Amino acid sequence: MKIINNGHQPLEIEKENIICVSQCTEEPGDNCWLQLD
Amino acid sequence: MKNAFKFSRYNVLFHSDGKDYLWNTFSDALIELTNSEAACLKNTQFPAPDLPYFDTLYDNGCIIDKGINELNKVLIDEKSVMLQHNPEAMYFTIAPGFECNYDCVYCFEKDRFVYKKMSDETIDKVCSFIINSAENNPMLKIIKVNWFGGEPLLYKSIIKEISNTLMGYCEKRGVKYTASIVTNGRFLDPDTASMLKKLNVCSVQLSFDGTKDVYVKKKRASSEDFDATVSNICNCADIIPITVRINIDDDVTDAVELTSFFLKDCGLDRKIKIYIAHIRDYTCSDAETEADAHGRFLDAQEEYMKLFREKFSAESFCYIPPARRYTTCPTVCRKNFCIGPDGELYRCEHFFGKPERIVGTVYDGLYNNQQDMQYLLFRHPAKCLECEMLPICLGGCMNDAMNGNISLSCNKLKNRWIELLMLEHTVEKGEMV
Repeated sequence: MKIINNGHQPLEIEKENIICVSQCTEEPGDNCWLQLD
Repeated sequence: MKNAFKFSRYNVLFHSDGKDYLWNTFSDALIELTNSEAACLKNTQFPAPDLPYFDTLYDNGCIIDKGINELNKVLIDEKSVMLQHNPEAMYFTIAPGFECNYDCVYCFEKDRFVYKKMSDETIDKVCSFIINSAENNPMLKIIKVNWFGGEPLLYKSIIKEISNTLMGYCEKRGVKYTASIVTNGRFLDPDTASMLKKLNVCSVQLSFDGTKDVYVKKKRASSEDFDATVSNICNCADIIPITVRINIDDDVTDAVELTSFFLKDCGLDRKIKIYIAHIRDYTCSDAETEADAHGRFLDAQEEYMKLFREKFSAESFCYIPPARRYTTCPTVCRKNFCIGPDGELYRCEHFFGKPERIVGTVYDGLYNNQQDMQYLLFRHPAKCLECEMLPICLGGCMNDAMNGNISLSCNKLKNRWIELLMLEHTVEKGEMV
Protein backbone atom coordinates (compact mmCIF):
# COMPACT_ATOMS: atom_id res chain seq x y z
CA MET A 1 0.00 0.00 0.00
CA LYS A 2 1.46 3.30 -1.08
CA ILE A 3 -0.04 6.70 -0.29
CA ILE A 4 0.09 8.82 -3.42
CA ASN A 5 -2.05 11.60 -2.01
CA ASN A 6 -3.08 12.02 1.62
CA GLY A 7 -6.74 12.14 2.57
CA HIS A 8 -8.49 12.92 5.83
CA GLN A 9 -11.49 11.99 7.92
CA PRO A 10 -14.82 13.54 6.78
CA LEU A 11 -15.06 15.96 9.70
CA GLU A 12 -11.56 17.32 9.42
CA ILE A 13 -12.13 19.77 6.57
CA GLU A 14 -11.65 23.37 7.57
CA LYS A 15 -14.25 25.65 6.06
CA GLU A 16 -11.63 28.39 5.57
CA ASN A 17 -10.06 26.38 2.79
CA ILE A 18 -13.29 25.78 1.00
CA ILE A 19 -13.99 28.79 -1.14
CA CYS A 20 -10.67 28.91 -2.93
CA VAL A 21 -11.35 25.60 -4.60
CA SER A 22 -14.74 26.58 -5.95
CA GLN A 23 -13.98 26.76 -9.60
CA CYS A 24 -15.37 25.78 -12.90
CA THR A 25 -13.46 22.67 -13.98
CA GLU A 26 -14.49 23.22 -17.56
CA GLU A 27 -12.17 26.23 -17.80
CA PRO A 28 -8.75 25.15 -16.61
CA GLY A 29 -7.19 28.28 -18.09
CA ASP A 30 -8.69 30.32 -15.32
CA ASN A 31 -6.37 28.78 -12.78
CA CYS A 32 -5.31 31.68 -10.60
CA TRP A 33 -8.44 31.15 -8.58
CA LEU A 34 -6.52 28.32 -6.98
CA GLN A 35 -3.55 30.41 -5.97
CA LEU A 36 -4.82 31.52 -2.60
CA ASP A 37 -2.06 30.81 -0.07
CA MET B 1 -17.15 -2.84 17.86
CA LYS B 2 -17.81 -5.15 14.91
CA ASN B 3 -20.01 -2.72 13.02
CA ALA B 4 -18.64 0.55 14.37
CA PHE B 5 -17.05 1.39 11.03
CA LYS B 6 -18.03 1.38 7.38
CA PHE B 7 -16.37 1.96 4.05
CA SER B 8 -16.73 5.46 2.67
CA ARG B 9 -19.37 5.68 -0.05
CA TYR B 10 -16.84 7.71 -2.03
CA ASN B 11 -14.21 5.00 -2.42
CA VAL B 12 -13.37 4.32 -6.07
CA LEU B 13 -11.29 1.24 -6.88
CA PHE B 14 -9.74 1.33 -10.32
CA HIS B 15 -7.02 -0.23 -12.42
CA SER B 16 -4.54 1.85 -14.41
CA ASP B 17 -1.31 0.90 -16.19
CA GLY B 18 -1.26 -2.51 -14.56
CA LYS B 19 -1.77 -1.22 -11.03
CA ASP B 20 -4.71 -1.05 -8.64
CA TYR B 21 -5.67 2.17 -6.92
CA LEU B 22 -8.08 3.30 -4.25
CA TRP B 23 -9.29 6.87 -4.69
CA ASN B 24 -11.57 8.62 -2.24
CA THR B 25 -13.37 11.48 -3.97
CA PHE B 26 -14.43 13.01 -0.66
CA SER B 27 -11.02 13.11 1.05
CA ASP B 28 -8.87 13.29 -2.13
CA ALA B 29 -6.87 10.28 -0.87
CA LEU B 30 -5.16 8.27 -3.59
CA ILE B 31 -3.58 4.97 -2.58
CA GLU B 32 -1.74 2.46 -4.72
CA LEU B 33 -2.63 -1.12 -3.82
CA THR B 34 -1.06 -4.50 -4.44
CA ASN B 35 -3.26 -7.09 -6.13
CA SER B 36 -3.90 -8.84 -2.84
CA GLU B 37 -4.77 -5.60 -1.05
CA ALA B 38 -7.24 -4.70 -3.80
CA ALA B 39 -8.78 -8.19 -3.61
CA CYS B 40 -9.01 -7.97 0.16
CA LEU B 41 -10.85 -4.65 -0.02
CA LYS B 42 -13.23 -5.93 -2.69
CA ASN B 43 -14.08 -8.97 -0.54
CA THR B 44 -14.59 -7.12 2.73
CA GLN B 45 -18.09 -5.95 3.50
CA PHE B 46 -17.68 -4.53 7.00
CA PRO B 47 -14.25 -3.10 7.86
CA ALA B 48 -13.01 -3.97 11.35
CA PRO B 49 -9.80 -2.86 13.09
CA ASP B 50 -8.17 -6.22 12.31
CA LEU B 51 -8.37 -5.46 8.59
CA PRO B 52 -4.87 -5.02 7.13
CA TYR B 53 -3.94 -1.34 6.95
CA PHE B 54 -7.10 -0.38 8.84
CA ASP B 55 -5.43 2.68 10.43
CA THR B 56 -4.13 3.97 7.09
CA LEU B 57 -7.52 3.53 5.44
CA TYR B 58 -9.22 5.23 8.39
CA ASP B 59 -6.80 8.18 8.48
CA ASN B 60 -7.38 8.73 4.78
CA GLY B 61 -11.17 8.70 5.03
CA CYS B 62 -11.62 5.41 3.14
CA ILE B 63 -13.03 3.85 6.31
CA ILE B 64 -15.21 6.08 8.47
CA ASP B 65 -17.24 5.90 11.66
CA LYS B 66 -20.57 4.27 11.01
CA GLY B 67 -22.62 7.23 12.25
CA ILE B 68 -21.21 9.69 9.74
CA ASN B 69 -23.29 10.68 6.71
CA GLU B 70 -20.86 11.86 4.06
CA LEU B 71 -23.55 12.67 1.50
CA ASN B 72 -25.19 15.12 3.86
CA LYS B 73 -21.79 16.68 4.56
CA VAL B 74 -21.26 17.22 0.84
CA LEU B 75 -24.69 18.84 0.49
CA ILE B 76 -24.34 20.99 3.62
CA ASP B 77 -20.88 22.19 2.58
CA GLU B 78 -22.25 23.13 -0.83
CA LYS B 79 -25.10 25.25 0.55
CA SER B 80 -22.81 26.73 3.18
CA VAL B 81 -20.31 27.90 0.58
CA MET B 82 -23.08 29.20 -1.67
CA LEU B 83 -24.48 31.32 1.15
CA GLN B 84 -21.03 32.80 1.82
CA HIS B 85 -21.77 34.21 5.27
CA ASN B 86 -18.17 35.25 5.85
CA PRO B 87 -16.26 34.57 2.66
CA GLU B 88 -12.49 34.62 2.54
CA ALA B 89 -12.66 35.16 -1.21
CA MET B 90 -14.92 37.16 -3.48
CA TYR B 91 -15.09 36.69 -7.24
CA PHE B 92 -16.41 39.06 -9.88
CA THR B 93 -16.61 38.64 -13.63
CA ILE B 94 -16.84 42.09 -15.19
CA ALA B 95 -17.84 42.95 -18.75
CA PRO B 96 -16.84 46.60 -19.34
CA GLY B 97 -18.69 46.46 -22.66
CA PHE B 98 -20.24 44.03 -25.13
CA GLU B 99 -18.51 45.20 -28.30
CA CYS B 100 -16.24 42.75 -30.07
CA ASN B 101 -13.91 43.04 -33.03
CA TYR B 102 -14.97 39.58 -34.25
CA ASP B 103 -18.28 37.99 -35.08
CA CYS B 104 -17.72 34.33 -34.15
CA VAL B 105 -20.28 31.97 -35.61
CA TYR B 106 -20.75 30.22 -32.26
CA CYS B 107 -20.88 33.32 -30.01
CA PHE B 108 -23.53 32.93 -27.31
CA GLU B 109 -23.84 36.71 -26.99
CA LYS B 110 -24.67 37.47 -30.62
CA ASP B 111 -28.14 38.80 -31.42
CA ARG B 112 -28.62 39.42 -27.74
CA PHE B 113 -27.63 42.99 -27.18
CA VAL B 114 -26.96 46.40 -28.52
CA TYR B 115 -23.30 47.24 -28.07
CA LYS B 116 -22.86 48.87 -24.71
CA LYS B 117 -19.96 50.44 -22.88
CA MET B 118 -19.76 51.01 -19.14
CA SER B 119 -20.37 54.68 -18.30
CA ASP B 120 -18.20 56.69 -15.88
CA GLU B 121 -21.03 56.68 -13.37
CA THR B 122 -21.38 52.89 -13.58
CA ILE B 123 -17.60 52.43 -13.27
CA ASP B 124 -17.72 54.31 -9.95
CA LYS B 125 -20.76 52.32 -8.87
CA VAL B 126 -19.12 48.99 -9.74
CA CYS B 127 -16.11 49.92 -7.62
CA SER B 128 -18.19 51.09 -4.67
CA PHE B 129 -20.43 48.02 -4.92
CA ILE B 130 -17.43 45.67 -4.73
CA ILE B 131 -15.73 47.67 -1.98
CA ASN B 132 -18.90 47.95 0.12
CA SER B 133 -19.44 44.25 -0.29
CA ALA B 134 -15.85 43.61 0.78
CA GLU B 135 -16.26 45.91 3.79
CA ASN B 136 -19.06 43.68 5.06
CA ASN B 137 -16.77 40.65 5.04
CA PRO B 138 -14.31 40.76 7.92
CA MET B 139 -12.72 37.42 6.98
CA LEU B 140 -11.92 38.49 3.41
CA LYS B 141 -8.44 37.56 2.16
CA ILE B 142 -8.72 37.87 -1.60
CA ILE B 143 -10.74 39.61 -4.30
CA LYS B 144 -10.55 38.13 -7.76
CA VAL B 145 -11.78 39.77 -10.95
CA ASN B 146 -12.19 38.07 -14.30
CA TRP B 147 -12.35 40.49 -17.25
CA PHE B 148 -14.86 39.44 -19.86
CA GLY B 149 -16.73 40.95 -22.80
CA GLY B 150 -17.46 41.32 -25.72
CA GLU B 151 -13.75 41.76 -26.18
CA PRO B 152 -12.46 43.29 -22.95
CA LEU B 153 -9.28 44.70 -24.51
CA LEU B 154 -11.46 47.15 -26.42
CA TYR B 155 -11.99 48.73 -23.01
CA LYS B 156 -8.48 49.06 -21.63
CA SER B 157 -9.12 52.38 -19.89
CA ILE B 158 -12.08 50.95 -17.98
CA ILE B 159 -10.07 47.89 -16.95
CA LYS B 160 -7.32 50.20 -15.76
CA GLU B 161 -9.62 52.46 -13.80
CA ILE B 162 -11.52 49.73 -11.97
CA SER B 163 -8.34 47.71 -11.35
CA ASN B 164 -6.51 50.68 -9.84
CA THR B 165 -9.41 51.51 -7.54
CA LEU B 166 -9.77 47.92 -6.35
CA MET B 167 -6.00 47.42 -6.00
CA GLY B 168 -5.79 50.61 -3.92
CA TYR B 169 -8.57 49.36 -1.65
CA CYS B 170 -7.07 45.90 -1.30
CA GLU B 171 -3.64 47.26 -0.48
CA LYS B 172 -5.07 49.52 2.22
CA ARG B 173 -7.18 46.70 3.63
CA GLY B 174 -4.36 44.13 3.48
CA VAL B 175 -6.32 41.90 1.10
CA LYS B 176 -4.88 40.14 -1.94
CA TYR B 177 -6.13 41.25 -5.36
CA THR B 178 -5.75 39.09 -8.44
CA ALA B 179 -7.32 39.06 -11.89
CA SER B 180 -7.62 37.11 -15.11
CA ILE B 181 -8.91 37.96 -18.56
CA VAL B 182 -10.75 36.13 -21.33
CA THR B 183 -9.74 37.65 -24.68
CA ASN B 184 -9.39 36.83 -28.35
CA GLY B 185 -5.87 38.29 -28.14
CA ARG B 186 -6.08 40.53 -31.20
CA PHE B 187 -5.09 43.58 -29.11
CA LEU B 188 -2.74 41.83 -26.70
CA ASP B 189 0.45 43.60 -27.74
CA PRO B 190 3.47 43.69 -25.39
CA ASP B 191 2.52 47.10 -23.97
CA THR B 192 -0.96 45.83 -23.15
CA ALA B 193 0.45 42.65 -21.61
CA SER B 194 2.76 44.75 -19.42
CA MET B 195 -0.17 46.95 -18.42
CA LEU B 196 -2.26 43.91 -17.50
CA LYS B 197 0.59 42.49 -15.47
CA LYS B 198 0.81 45.72 -13.50
CA LEU B 199 -2.93 45.41 -12.89
CA ASN B 200 -2.36 41.98 -11.28
CA VAL B 201 -3.81 40.04 -14.20
CA CYS B 202 -2.09 36.73 -13.60
CA SER B 203 -3.78 34.66 -16.28
CA VAL B 204 -4.78 35.35 -19.89
CA GLN B 205 -7.22 32.90 -21.40
CA LEU B 206 -7.00 33.37 -25.13
CA SER B 207 -9.70 31.77 -27.24
CA PHE B 208 -8.54 30.36 -30.56
CA ASP B 209 -10.58 28.51 -33.13
CA GLY B 210 -8.14 26.62 -35.28
CA THR B 211 -5.52 26.93 -37.98
CA LYS B 212 -5.70 29.95 -40.27
CA ASP B 213 -8.51 28.85 -42.59
CA VAL B 214 -10.68 27.58 -39.76
CA TYR B 215 -9.93 30.65 -37.65
CA VAL B 216 -10.88 33.05 -40.43
CA LYS B 217 -14.09 31.15 -41.12
CA LYS B 218 -15.25 30.71 -37.53
CA LYS B 219 -14.31 34.17 -36.32
CA ARG B 220 -15.34 35.81 -39.57
CA ALA B 221 -11.94 37.48 -39.36
CA SER B 222 -9.14 38.16 -41.85
CA SER B 223 -5.90 36.23 -42.29
CA GLU B 224 -4.12 39.38 -41.02
CA ASP B 225 -6.10 39.00 -37.79
CA PHE B 226 -4.80 35.44 -37.45
CA ASP B 227 -1.19 36.48 -38.08
CA ALA B 228 -1.38 39.44 -35.71
CA THR B 229 -2.88 37.35 -32.91
CA VAL B 230 -0.22 34.66 -33.32
CA SER B 231 2.44 37.39 -33.17
CA ASN B 232 0.85 38.76 -30.02
CA ILE B 233 1.00 35.36 -28.34
CA CYS B 234 4.65 34.92 -29.32
CA ASN B 235 5.57 38.43 -28.16
CA CYS B 236 3.68 38.32 -24.88
CA ALA B 237 4.31 34.76 -23.67
CA ASP B 238 7.33 35.88 -21.67
CA ILE B 239 5.47 38.81 -20.16
CA ILE B 240 2.25 37.26 -18.88
CA PRO B 241 1.01 33.66 -18.46
CA ILE B 242 -1.08 32.74 -21.50
CA THR B 243 -3.40 29.79 -21.84
CA VAL B 244 -4.73 29.10 -25.32
CA ARG B 245 -8.21 27.61 -25.34
CA ILE B 246 -8.76 25.84 -28.64
CA ASN B 247 -12.45 25.71 -29.40
CA ILE B 248 -13.49 22.58 -31.24
CA ASP B 249 -16.65 20.78 -32.25
CA ASP B 250 -15.73 17.09 -32.21
CA ASP B 251 -12.79 16.76 -34.60
CA VAL B 252 -9.33 17.10 -33.08
CA THR B 253 -7.31 17.04 -36.31
CA ASP B 254 -7.19 20.79 -36.68
CA ALA B 255 -6.64 21.31 -32.93
CA VAL B 256 -3.60 19.01 -33.01
CA GLU B 257 -2.25 20.86 -36.05
CA LEU B 258 -2.73 24.18 -34.29
CA THR B 259 -1.10 22.85 -31.10
CA SER B 260 1.89 21.72 -33.14
CA PHE B 261 2.03 25.13 -34.83
CA PHE B 262 2.16 26.95 -31.48
CA LEU B 263 4.41 24.60 -29.52
CA LYS B 264 6.82 23.55 -32.27
CA ASP B 265 6.75 26.04 -35.17
CA CYS B 266 6.37 29.10 -32.93
CA GLY B 267 8.72 27.70 -30.27
CA LEU B 268 6.19 28.18 -27.47
CA ASP B 269 6.59 24.77 -25.86
CA ARG B 270 6.62 25.22 -22.07
CA LYS B 271 5.97 28.96 -22.55
CA ILE B 272 2.21 28.77 -22.94
CA LYS B 273 -0.43 26.27 -21.91
CA ILE B 274 -3.06 24.79 -24.21
CA TYR B 275 -6.31 22.93 -23.84
CA ILE B 276 -9.28 22.15 -26.01
CA ALA B 277 -12.81 23.16 -25.15
CA HIS B 278 -16.19 22.20 -26.43
CA ILE B 279 -18.13 24.76 -28.44
CA ARG B 280 -21.63 24.43 -27.17
CA ASP B 281 -24.82 25.38 -28.86
CA TYR B 282 -26.42 27.58 -26.23
CA THR B 283 -29.56 27.88 -28.30
CA CYS B 284 -30.09 24.13 -28.11
CA SER B 285 -32.83 23.18 -25.67
CA ASP B 286 -32.72 19.46 -26.30
CA ALA B 287 -30.84 17.72 -23.48
CA GLU B 288 -30.24 14.54 -25.44
CA THR B 289 -28.72 16.36 -28.41
CA GLU B 290 -26.49 18.32 -26.02
CA ALA B 291 -25.47 15.15 -24.18
CA ASP B 292 -24.58 13.47 -27.47
CA ALA B 293 -22.48 16.46 -28.50
CA HIS B 294 -20.76 16.44 -25.11
CA GLY B 295 -20.05 12.73 -25.44
CA ARG B 296 -18.47 13.26 -28.86
CA PHE B 297 -16.36 16.07 -27.42
CA LEU B 298 -15.12 13.80 -24.59
CA ASP B 299 -14.10 11.21 -27.20
CA ALA B 300 -12.28 13.92 -29.11
CA GLN B 301 -10.63 15.13 -25.92
CA GLU B 302 -9.39 11.63 -25.17
CA GLU B 303 -7.81 11.44 -28.60
CA TYR B 304 -6.30 14.92 -28.18
CA MET B 305 -4.77 14.00 -24.80
CA LYS B 306 -3.30 10.84 -26.29
CA LEU B 307 -1.74 12.74 -29.19
CA PHE B 308 -0.56 15.48 -26.84
CA ARG B 309 1.27 12.93 -24.67
CA GLU B 310 2.98 11.50 -27.74
CA LYS B 311 4.03 14.76 -29.34
CA PHE B 312 4.34 17.57 -26.79
CA SER B 313 5.55 18.42 -23.28
CA ALA B 314 3.17 17.63 -20.46
CA GLU B 315 3.99 21.07 -18.99
CA SER B 316 2.21 22.71 -21.92
CA PHE B 317 -1.04 20.82 -21.35
CA CYS B 318 -3.52 22.75 -19.25
CA TYR B 319 -5.87 20.79 -17.04
CA ILE B 320 -7.32 20.74 -13.57
CA PRO B 321 -6.80 17.50 -11.66
CA PRO B 322 -10.04 16.24 -10.14
CA ALA B 323 -10.39 17.17 -6.47
CA ARG B 324 -13.09 17.73 -3.89
CA ARG B 325 -15.08 20.85 -4.71
CA TYR B 326 -17.65 22.74 -2.78
CA THR B 327 -19.71 24.48 -5.42
CA THR B 328 -19.96 23.90 -9.13
CA CYS B 329 -19.07 27.47 -10.00
CA PRO B 330 -17.97 30.54 -8.03
CA THR B 331 -20.64 32.77 -9.54
CA VAL B 332 -23.55 30.81 -8.07
CA CYS B 333 -22.29 31.88 -4.63
CA ARG B 334 -24.31 34.65 -3.07
CA LYS B 335 -21.64 37.37 -2.90
CA ASN B 336 -19.95 36.68 -6.23
CA PHE B 337 -21.37 38.20 -9.39
CA CYS B 338 -21.05 38.68 -13.11
CA ILE B 339 -21.38 42.41 -13.71
CA GLY B 340 -22.57 43.78 -17.05
CA PRO B 341 -21.84 47.20 -18.63
CA ASP B 342 -24.95 48.79 -17.12
CA GLY B 343 -24.02 47.46 -13.69
CA GLU B 344 -26.52 44.62 -13.93
CA LEU B 345 -25.76 41.49 -11.91
CA TYR B 346 -25.97 37.92 -13.24
CA ARG B 347 -25.15 34.44 -11.97
CA CYS B 348 -23.29 33.38 -15.11
CA GLU B 349 -21.33 35.20 -17.82
CA HIS B 350 -23.36 33.30 -20.38
CA PHE B 351 -26.39 35.29 -19.26
CA PHE B 352 -24.91 38.67 -20.17
CA GLY B 353 -27.49 40.70 -22.11
CA LYS B 354 -30.45 38.56 -20.99
CA PRO B 355 -32.76 40.82 -18.93
CA GLU B 356 -34.70 37.87 -17.54
CA ARG B 357 -31.50 36.56 -15.93
CA ILE B 358 -30.67 39.70 -13.98
CA VAL B 359 -30.53 39.19 -10.19
CA GLY B 360 -29.81 42.79 -9.17
CA THR B 361 -27.70 45.81 -10.08
CA VAL B 362 -24.73 47.62 -8.57
CA TYR B 363 -27.15 50.54 -8.03
CA ASP B 364 -29.94 48.65 -6.28
CA GLY B 365 -28.13 45.62 -4.86
CA LEU B 366 -29.62 42.13 -4.95
CA TYR B 367 -33.27 41.72 -5.90
CA ASN B 368 -33.48 38.35 -4.11
CA ASN B 369 -35.74 37.36 -6.99
CA GLN B 370 -36.76 33.87 -8.02
CA GLN B 371 -34.06 33.84 -10.66
CA ASP B 372 -31.51 34.02 -7.84
CA MET B 373 -33.34 31.81 -5.35
CA GLN B 374 -33.41 28.89 -7.76
CA TYR B 375 -29.72 28.21 -7.04
CA LEU B 376 -30.21 27.94 -3.29
CA LEU B 377 -33.34 25.85 -3.76
CA PHE B 378 -31.71 23.54 -6.28
CA ARG B 379 -31.75 19.83 -5.39
CA HIS B 380 -29.47 17.38 -7.08
CA PRO B 381 -31.20 14.61 -9.01
CA ALA B 382 -31.13 11.08 -7.56
CA LYS B 383 -28.60 10.01 -10.15
CA CYS B 384 -26.08 12.48 -8.73
CA LEU B 385 -26.90 11.78 -5.08
CA GLU B 386 -26.07 8.12 -5.65
CA CYS B 387 -22.86 8.78 -7.56
CA GLU B 388 -19.44 8.09 -6.02
CA MET B 389 -18.06 11.09 -7.97
CA LEU B 390 -20.45 13.63 -6.43
CA PRO B 391 -17.77 15.34 -4.24
CA ILE B 392 -15.67 16.22 -7.29
CA CYS B 393 -18.53 16.88 -9.72
CA LEU B 394 -21.58 18.15 -7.82
CA GLY B 395 -23.55 17.53 -10.98
CA GLY B 396 -21.52 19.92 -13.13
CA CYS B 397 -22.85 23.31 -14.20
CA MET B 398 -25.89 24.09 -12.06
CA ASN B 399 -27.57 25.97 -14.91
CA ASP B 400 -27.24 22.89 -17.11
CA ALA B 401 -28.61 20.71 -14.33
CA MET B 402 -31.60 23.01 -13.89
CA ASN B 403 -32.21 22.85 -17.63
CA GLY B 404 -32.30 19.07 -17.48
CA ASN B 405 -28.93 18.60 -19.22
CA ILE B 406 -27.70 16.31 -16.48
CA SER B 407 -27.16 13.36 -18.77
CA LEU B 408 -23.81 14.84 -19.81
CA SER B 409 -22.02 11.55 -20.58
CA CYS B 410 -21.30 10.69 -16.94
CA ASN B 411 -19.47 7.42 -17.58
CA LYS B 412 -17.10 9.06 -20.02
CA LEU B 413 -16.52 11.88 -17.54
CA LYS B 414 -15.64 9.41 -14.78
CA ASN B 415 -13.01 7.80 -16.97
CA ARG B 416 -11.66 11.24 -17.91
CA TRP B 417 -11.26 12.18 -14.26
CA ILE B 418 -9.37 9.00 -13.52
CA GLU B 419 -7.14 9.73 -16.50
CA LEU B 420 -6.47 13.29 -15.30
CA LEU B 421 -5.88 12.05 -11.76
CA MET B 422 -3.23 9.65 -13.01
CA LEU B 423 -1.74 12.36 -15.22
CA GLU B 424 -1.34 14.51 -12.12
CA HIS B 425 0.49 11.70 -10.39
CA THR B 426 2.70 10.44 -13.19
CA VAL B 427 5.63 12.05 -11.44
CA GLU B 428 6.86 9.40 -9.03
CA LYS B 429 5.88 10.43 -5.54
CA GLY B 430 4.28 9.10 -2.43
CA GLU B 431 5.42 7.10 0.55
CA MET B 432 5.32 3.41 1.28
CA VAL B 433 3.47 2.31 4.40
